Amino acid sequence: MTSNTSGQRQDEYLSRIALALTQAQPAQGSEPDDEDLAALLDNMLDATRRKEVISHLANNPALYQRWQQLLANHDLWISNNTVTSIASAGTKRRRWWQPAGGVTAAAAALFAGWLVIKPGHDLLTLDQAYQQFSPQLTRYLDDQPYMRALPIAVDSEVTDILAGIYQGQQTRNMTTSFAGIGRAQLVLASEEYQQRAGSSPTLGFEWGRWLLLSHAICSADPDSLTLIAPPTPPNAETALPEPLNCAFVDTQVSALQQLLKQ
Amino acid sequence: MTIDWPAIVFSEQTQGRIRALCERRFGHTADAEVASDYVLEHLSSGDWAQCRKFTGKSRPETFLYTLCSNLVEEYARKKFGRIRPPSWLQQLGDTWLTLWKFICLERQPVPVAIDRLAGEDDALRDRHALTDMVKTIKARLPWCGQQSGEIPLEEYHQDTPGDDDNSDDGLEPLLLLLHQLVLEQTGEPSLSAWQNPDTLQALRGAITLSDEQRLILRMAYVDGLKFSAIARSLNLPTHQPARLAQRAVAHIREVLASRQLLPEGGE
Repeated sequence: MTSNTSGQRQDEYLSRIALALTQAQPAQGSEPDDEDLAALLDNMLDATRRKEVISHLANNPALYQRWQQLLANHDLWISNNTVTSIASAGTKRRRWWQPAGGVTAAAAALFAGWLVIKPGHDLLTLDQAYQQFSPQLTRYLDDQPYMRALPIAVDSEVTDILAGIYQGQQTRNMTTSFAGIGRAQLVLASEEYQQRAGSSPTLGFEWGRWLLLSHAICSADPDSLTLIAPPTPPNAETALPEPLNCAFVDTQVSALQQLLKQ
Repeated sequence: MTIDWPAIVFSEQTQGRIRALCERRFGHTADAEVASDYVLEHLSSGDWAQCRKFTGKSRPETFLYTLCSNLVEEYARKKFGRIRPPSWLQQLGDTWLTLWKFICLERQPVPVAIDRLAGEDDALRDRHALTDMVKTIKARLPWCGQQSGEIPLEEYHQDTPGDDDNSDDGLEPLLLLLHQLVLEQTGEPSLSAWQNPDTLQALRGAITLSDEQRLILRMAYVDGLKFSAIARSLNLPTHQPARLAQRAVAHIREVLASRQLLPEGGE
């Protein structure tokens, strides 16, 4: 159902064939009750029970259907959070695949530091980075929601950034929304940019290309952000942090969104 | 575990959540109000018997959410009956079935049904794909969604106990259909190999998928959930579902190709 390309269609059909052939395996452990499903949503199951619950979901169509119903409305339940939660709603949950403590974070920091100080380590140009991270970019673009926002007039610097974002999407032959900015806005910006573009890209344009790819990388593999040489910010007051981090990327995306608010 | 369930359920927050849940399910209709009452009545019945099953494995509000979700569906079944969809729809997956239920059975407006399945900001599913699914359903079931007139009896029959069992009936036609579709853009289909029962048996033995892979394939390719939504729902790293799905599809492709069930162009 997700498919728009023949490759994806084939994946869908191959998956359906495999699911039909391998259906009705005996599930592991006792059948999950309501609280098990709630605990799966809360990420509070231990690894063994989690595996058992997944086994039942994979092999029990009725349970799977209930799970789908829970997923469909969970956002609504969470977003209706006008009063203080009855439990520790503000507590950030530890993902089951993350080890306790800061071992992963420490290792990531060490690795990122190593990349920065590695002798002879060359940063990727934006074009090289677009090639190297094209799978991540494709997946990122594929996940962007459809936005209905109508284009609004913006200044030339913002137009350049939006045109750069659009150009970055075109490396994957995809046009999607970006961080809440609708496709129509990006297309319009690109058209405007093309009309006045010189022989070399503007700072804003390059910044837009970098912003798109960085946002995609931050959603997939944040440590890789430091592999890319950042372009010069179009706004001279913008100071690049050392090393570059995803919080900075998010800040830049938010700043762009603010400029586009009607 | 001692929890003051009446205080929680009758709190402003929970009341708002239940109301929102029912309005999303039934729109801003009288049914939504009746469903809210139904949920509250059943939560409190038997001295909060359902709530008191809570043991502390999850957060109380999430447990309460599962109970409310079940009760809303229970109300819908009582209101609209439990009618079996056409077999072709059953083979297509839960998203198709849910759309059919909303539009044809409960006669909800198409945009409302699509909004529900697409999720907030289309975070769950692709809106255009859902629209295409509605078109297919309406093309094959012309009575679907009509506000007047009888639904042809031959279009459905009431569920009977045991009908939920998953049987292998119709597996081979499904495989043939799917195989044709796989090959539609790649080359000549060699259906004779697929019609051989030994082939299907051999494939059953050769295709090995973990439960997690089967679940992810189903969520992604049968029910159209975005990989990011799958990652969130299973608490997996963002791109793990896509990786697991890609590995699984590569394995399936390899098994089929090794038995000459895919043309070279499809490998």
